[in-house]
Amino acid sequence: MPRAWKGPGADDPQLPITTPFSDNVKRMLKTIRFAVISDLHYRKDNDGVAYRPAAGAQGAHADPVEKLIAFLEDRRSDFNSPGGKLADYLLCPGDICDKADGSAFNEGWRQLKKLQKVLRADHLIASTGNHEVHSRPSDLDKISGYAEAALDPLEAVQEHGDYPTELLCEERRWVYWGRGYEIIEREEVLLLLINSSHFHPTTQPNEYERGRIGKVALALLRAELKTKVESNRNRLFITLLHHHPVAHEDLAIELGRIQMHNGELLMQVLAECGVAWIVVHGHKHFPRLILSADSGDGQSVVLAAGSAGVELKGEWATKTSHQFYIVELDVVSQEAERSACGRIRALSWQGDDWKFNELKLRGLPDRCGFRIPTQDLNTIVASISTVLAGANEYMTWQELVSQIPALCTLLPQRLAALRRALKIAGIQTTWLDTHYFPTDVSR
Amino acid sequence: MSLRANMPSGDAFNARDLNAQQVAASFIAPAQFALLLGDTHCVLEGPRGSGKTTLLKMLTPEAFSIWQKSNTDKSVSFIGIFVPADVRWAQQLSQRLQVNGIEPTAREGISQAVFSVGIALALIDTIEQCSQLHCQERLPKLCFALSRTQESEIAKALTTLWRLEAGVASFAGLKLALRQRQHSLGTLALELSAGRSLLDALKTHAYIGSSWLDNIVTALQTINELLERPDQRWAILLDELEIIPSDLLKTIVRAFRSTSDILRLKISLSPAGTDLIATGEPGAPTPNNDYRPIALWYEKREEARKFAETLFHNRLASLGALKSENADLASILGLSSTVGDPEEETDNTTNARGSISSAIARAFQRLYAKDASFRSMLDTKKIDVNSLPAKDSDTHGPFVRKIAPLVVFREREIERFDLGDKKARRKGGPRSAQPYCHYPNLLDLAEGNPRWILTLADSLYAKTRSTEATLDSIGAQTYVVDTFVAQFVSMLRVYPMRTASPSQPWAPYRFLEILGSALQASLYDGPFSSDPSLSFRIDDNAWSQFKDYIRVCIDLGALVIIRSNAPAPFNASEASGSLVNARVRISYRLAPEFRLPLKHTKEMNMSGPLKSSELLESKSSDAIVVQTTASERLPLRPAQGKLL
Repeated sequence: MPRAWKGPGADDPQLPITTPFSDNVKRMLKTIRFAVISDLHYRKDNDGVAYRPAAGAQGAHADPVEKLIAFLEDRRSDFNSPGGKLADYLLCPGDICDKADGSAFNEGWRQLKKLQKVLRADHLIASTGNHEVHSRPSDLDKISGYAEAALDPLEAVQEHGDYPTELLCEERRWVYWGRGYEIIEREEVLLLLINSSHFHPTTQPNEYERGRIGKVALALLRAELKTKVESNRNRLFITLLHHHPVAHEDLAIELGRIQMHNGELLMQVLAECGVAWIVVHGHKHFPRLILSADSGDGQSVVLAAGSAGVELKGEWATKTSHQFYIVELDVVSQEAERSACGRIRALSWQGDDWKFNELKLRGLPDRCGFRIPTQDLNTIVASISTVLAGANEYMTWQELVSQIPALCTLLPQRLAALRRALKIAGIQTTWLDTHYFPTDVSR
Repeated sequence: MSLRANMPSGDAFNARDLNAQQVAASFIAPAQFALLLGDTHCVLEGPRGSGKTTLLKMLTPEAFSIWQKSNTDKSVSFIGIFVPADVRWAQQLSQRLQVNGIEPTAREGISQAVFSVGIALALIDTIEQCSQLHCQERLPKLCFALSRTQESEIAKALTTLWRLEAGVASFAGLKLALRQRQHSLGTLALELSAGRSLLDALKTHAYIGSSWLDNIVTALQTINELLERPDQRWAILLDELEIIPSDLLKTIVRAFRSTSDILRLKISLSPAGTDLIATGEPGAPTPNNDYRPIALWYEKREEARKFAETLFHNRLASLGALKSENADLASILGLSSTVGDPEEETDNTTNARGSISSAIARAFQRLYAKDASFRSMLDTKKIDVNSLPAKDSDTHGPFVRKIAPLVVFREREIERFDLGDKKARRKGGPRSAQPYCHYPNLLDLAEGNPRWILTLADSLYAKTRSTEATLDSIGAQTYVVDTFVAQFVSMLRVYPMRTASPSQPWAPYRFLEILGSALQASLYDGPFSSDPSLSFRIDDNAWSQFKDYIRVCIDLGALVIIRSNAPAPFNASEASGSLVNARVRISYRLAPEFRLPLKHTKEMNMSGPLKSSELLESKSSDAIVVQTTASERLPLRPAQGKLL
């Protein structure tokens, strides 16, 4: 359930709080938390007995999901969550299992429900990944007249009545499977659930090698969204899908160029609704948080969730890590203009346990975030100067964050600019090149 | 260094990468720990795996405070600053300063600065640790509250003292500045190597004119003043000193004579590393006057047993392998029936003074039947083999017990020996590890080395679990002993040596094999001897030709120094190492490999077997000189090629 929004330091009227929103944006005083875990890739472990995420093939001690469940239970207080409730929703953008292994999916789905319980999340919602679909027929399937062969590409997932979410009744579940998307509406949230692997059952390479939303579905979605969004703009607008609807490339690593077909058109459909969307996807195993503007004035947040369980190899292993996120979103009015504000707690897998991430080579930073419209860095720096002026000694970054909430809503890409701006303003920091944030700050 | 340090020996335990909580959680204090807690400079000597790093890490505030909770009668009067063996500074020194022509003072300046940075970083970490422990009442000498203002004052003072660039006045700011200096020192070393003068460098890097000792002592005095703890004592804990270049090492050893009352040094190094420094000159520190030498190995096996028993037992208990945690190891592992060394017997063995086991009695009878030399000896002494005297009050009781293990092993090895024979006829085929199993033999193989003890315990647990056998199963124990020995032998067979034949490498195992064969010959080839040679004296010849092999074998624990309580570190002169004339024995871990009993008796000159194996030639005009380091050249003679 949503809770009253109360920013850090809000009790103290002396503190120079920089609110995330300008005065003309009505704050709804509510936040909703979404936990995000993606690309678990459950399969048989090295002993061939238990099913675990591929990264945990060595056994329970290396199983990132089991360790995550234990971590969250132990460190509940670190999330500053009222009543110990860590999230309202648990989102999984797909690839729960590896290579459409039904038994592996069963275990992965069971563990996700266990995670949901630990998070005390009300709902679990998944989108279908390419690995959930049996898209590669065997030689037997190709033998003409071989009546014994039976290929049911979605059998592993469709037999679960609560997949992709128990929020969909049986009828609407088949709408999801039939047209490739469904819309879930709650009081504060509109969640668009897209099956970007909808065409994988054709078992054709041009389909299973990338995601797609069909033209017919897109047209239907466009019309449907117009009505539904307009009916209530004072809520959060989330899109959950497996494949990346916008280009996902990085100068540091070769990530491939096969993009989701009609992805850009999908983003345009979202943009023309006139609200800020939070698009959550998986698939790439290389986390990223950006603002995307594919249609002139449109702006959406795109969270490419890192994998929590795939076996990271080669460059992936050295330039990122497994991640899990809790995204706290403010419910804001978007009657006048697009608005969004989110703060992210990001955990990274260390090989034997999870840790709040500070390092650039381990995925998204803990305590990053986003805001639409974007904040002015000069204002933030001025706030920092003001706070430091009242301090006799140095302040830790966490102390600053507790007094200036806007610091938790910075995109990772803006941190370099913040560092420059602080330097120009003569503010001293202990900011290591390997880290996203400084530890200490002083005048 | 890196290749050697990473050589696997099959032993999985190393404290290097463990944090304070992890080290403290499984710590079993050996007797030496109490000495280390004393308010003196200490030199901790021990081969690999003997627990040097663990012991030093246990002196850090966090680890000690955890351990002290369950050892409330223990306290410490100093704050330990653990300085890890950071390969970076050792490498920076050894690689970037190995250039002919670089001014010695410049080299020293860089060495001192790099070392200073390493200690400074460790000091800041330690202060942070002390302020976060919240145990002022329990350990007032170790913990203190630290306000933000005090932290800033200390940071500002040390920034000035160490001539660092001012940044954020916090410990994090101080560490960042130190790391920047660490980084820039590599560049400065290269510039000096390329010809930049020291005078010029001092203009921009004045700090290289300060010694590490001045830097730390003045810093500690400043900190004590700001904390208002004028008498606070600190101890620098330095690990693996043998990898530090010798020039710097000398300055560290000289610091034992430091007059500062607030600083103690506790350093660790391999026993083979103690002669790396020539300290024969006047004014050099001397053992027991200026420092306390603490050996972490055990010459006699009963010395190690109590510690080994506790650690082995605790490990089995933590693995859940014990049905009853009160059971003693003799009942858990089963008692050996072949223990017989009278000096080492305890009431726990079958051979309490005054009796010998039936297994030993049978060995006496069988050897009597097939070994004429043994028979002759017993007959001469009028010892009835069918009614062996064993009591102290019997004329030959102590003698019979003394030779019992020799009899057991000789009986296993020889087929027949007649008085006219030059050499005994030996049995063929492999030998079972059975004589090395059960209590206490199994424990004794580990030499009191914590890493080896843990390896044995884990291996025994895994084997008995996979085969559903009990811990006293002879099948499981022989498997464990075989594996334990094979792992060590495998490492010795491939361990890289700095000195080797140019054409083919010669691993330490070959060297040990020559020594082991000599002992075997002494035990089994000739007539029975009640006092065979089972140890070696490192004579000048052996040392001059094979010192690198001797050092490596000692460092790895394959050779064990027998000092008979005489402290030896740092008493060497330039001309001869402290190990010359030292007595060594082959590790009990290798006893099954060379079929040796678990005992040591009189010594033979080490060069004897090496000569007889044609490994050592008295003189060779065409010796090949193999460059090892700039400071050390060892002659390697063509004769060594015969080893291969």
